[in-house]
Amino acid sequence: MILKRLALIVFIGSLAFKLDAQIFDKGTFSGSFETNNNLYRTDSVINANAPDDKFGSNTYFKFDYKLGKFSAGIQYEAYMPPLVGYSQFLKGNKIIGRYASYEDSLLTFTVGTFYEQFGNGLILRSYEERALGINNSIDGFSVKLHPIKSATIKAIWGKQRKYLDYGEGTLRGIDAELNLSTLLWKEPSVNIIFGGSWVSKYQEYTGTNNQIPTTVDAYAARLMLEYGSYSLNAEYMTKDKDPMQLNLFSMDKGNALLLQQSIVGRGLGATLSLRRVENADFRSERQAIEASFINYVPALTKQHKYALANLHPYSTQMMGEIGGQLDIFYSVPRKTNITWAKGVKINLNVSSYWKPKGNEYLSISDTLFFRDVGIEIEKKFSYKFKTALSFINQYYNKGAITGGASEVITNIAVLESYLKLRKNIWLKLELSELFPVQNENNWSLALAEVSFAPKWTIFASDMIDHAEQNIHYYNFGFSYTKNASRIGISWGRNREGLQCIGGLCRFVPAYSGFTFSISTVF
Amino acid sequence: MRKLAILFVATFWSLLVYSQEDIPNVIVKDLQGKKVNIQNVIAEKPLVVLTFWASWCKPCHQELNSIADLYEEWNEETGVEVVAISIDDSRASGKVKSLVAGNDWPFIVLLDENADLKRALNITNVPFLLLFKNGKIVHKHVGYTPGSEMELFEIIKKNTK
Repeated sequence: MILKRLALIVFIGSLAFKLDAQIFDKGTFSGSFETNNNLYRTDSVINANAPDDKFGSNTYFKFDYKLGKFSAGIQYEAYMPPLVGYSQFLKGNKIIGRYASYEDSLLTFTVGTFYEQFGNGLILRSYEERALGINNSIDGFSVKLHPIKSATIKAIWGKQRKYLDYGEGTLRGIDAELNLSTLLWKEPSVNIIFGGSWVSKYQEYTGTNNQIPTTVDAYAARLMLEYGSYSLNAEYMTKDKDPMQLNLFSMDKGNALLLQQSIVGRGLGATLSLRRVENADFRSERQAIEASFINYVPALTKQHKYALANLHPYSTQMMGEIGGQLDIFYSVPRKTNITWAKGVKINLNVSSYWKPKGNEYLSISDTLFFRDVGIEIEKKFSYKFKTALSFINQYYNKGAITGGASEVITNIAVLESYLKLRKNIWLKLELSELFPVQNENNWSLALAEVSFAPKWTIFASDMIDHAEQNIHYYNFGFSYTKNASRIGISWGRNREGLQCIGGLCRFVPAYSGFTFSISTVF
Repeated sequence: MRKLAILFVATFWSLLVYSQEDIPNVIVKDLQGKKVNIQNVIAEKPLVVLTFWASWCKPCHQELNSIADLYEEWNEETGVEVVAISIDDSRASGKVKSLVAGNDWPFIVLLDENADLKRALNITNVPFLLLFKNGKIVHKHVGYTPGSEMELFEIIKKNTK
């Protein structure tokens, strides 16, 4: 409450100061507005039940004001009521974000709502992902210090946002990073960066189990190394015993290890990521189920651009997972003499995750959770005609991941083409087919999009589930864009399933109806 | 009520104030993991296209590929430079370096892993691009449709005068 008032006072004060000082040309105001609205209808074919209100609306307003080294801002959010698939706890409207900040080259000091990430996020990441209804911003204060050019020290304190309020737990954290190369050498040929973090959460406990700690500490260390075309990014996080709902009140310590290596050259790049996690869920409330995330341990798998490749998205198994991902990107040199190879790009992606073997740290068990193997070949024939072909094979252990007892195996093929019809008019066509190997239906998808650059786009698509009777998930609509503003209107059906961004997913039930959205940046 | 009043004041204020936006004071990472202030990246250059993208965003790739193909020509004719900001978080930020090398993109690519710069510029969706002339924003555009790079180039040319 005090923080809230303080932030508001600073905000209004800065406005008043501006008026008094009569320096209209110095301060700047900027912000954004976004609203997404759905009118729902009951559609028995896809098992979609319209909610009681038959309406959902998520709206976000953000305003920032900046004057020299000072800045302040607010974020207003309204869920009247929340869109289908978002938590009903979001219902309502509120100015839920507000901050005042001072910054210069030595120091940044923020009071109010802020976002922060330590290292790769294995220990702490507060962020906003509107599409998933996630906002775990911290409300309190944060300091960033650059005592010397090669070092950064950060300290945070506060409570985490939970829906339209703040959670019970209190977070404290410190992170330090040192760039050894720029510290030691003027023009370093090797790049070495060290970092370390400490994050501690405190939540009162009034129950009777005296085994339950009120404070849980976590530590992380990281190293980034780069020499020539090779680079390494490594981080290890460990967490004290943290019994909570999500780990079934486990008294074990938790940990996570990330090892990422890349080799790059001109026209070629390869990245290999390896990761092992064990009891790594870290939340600011011990009763948390779907909110209060402190750390960020995303699924290290390819985030597919095609709908049929996203029917069975993988999410990190926080209680225990070991595996990795390999990505190779290649493009044929622009000035090649081989005609057929001109304009060709290839991307290969492989990822595979298993359950770890109990007592040996780096060994895998027989239980495979997920595997994804895919290749994408792009060919640009001319400015007027481009095409891309993808083949994907996926294994999804539904039994081990969501319960039940089935393993889903699929093959997916996608053909995507862009064709210039006339000046500024383009046609995009996408055809996909899912060939089931085990425990899935045959699916097809066709999408056509005509765009009139740079303002208008119209589209129509149909995704067909070839079940006993074909179920059509049709969608059509248009969008209009002018500068930084966009309006989109569409009508259609949406399949029930997980919507995932950044490896976190929310379950969205099937819905049918009319969608209307506006966004603008000013 | 009090909140509504604040919103009202804020909105009214936005109408009152007209001034060109500057480059925000935000730290991003280069592909070597080094921290760089975006002000230092943009400030010295007369014309910069700052474009936000993500590895999972199809239209972003199209946009960057079409700019990459035209970049040499654009740069020679107008001196414009392109800085592409990846908003990939730690799920994919580790492979951005390979992706950039594998696509042979000729422009600067920087990482905005926790969306600090994206937030400072109030960007809602990607792709999103901004044109800076002498450090001030003169044009913003959300989304990409094939062919809209031509409109962008017209705007760039207008701003060289």
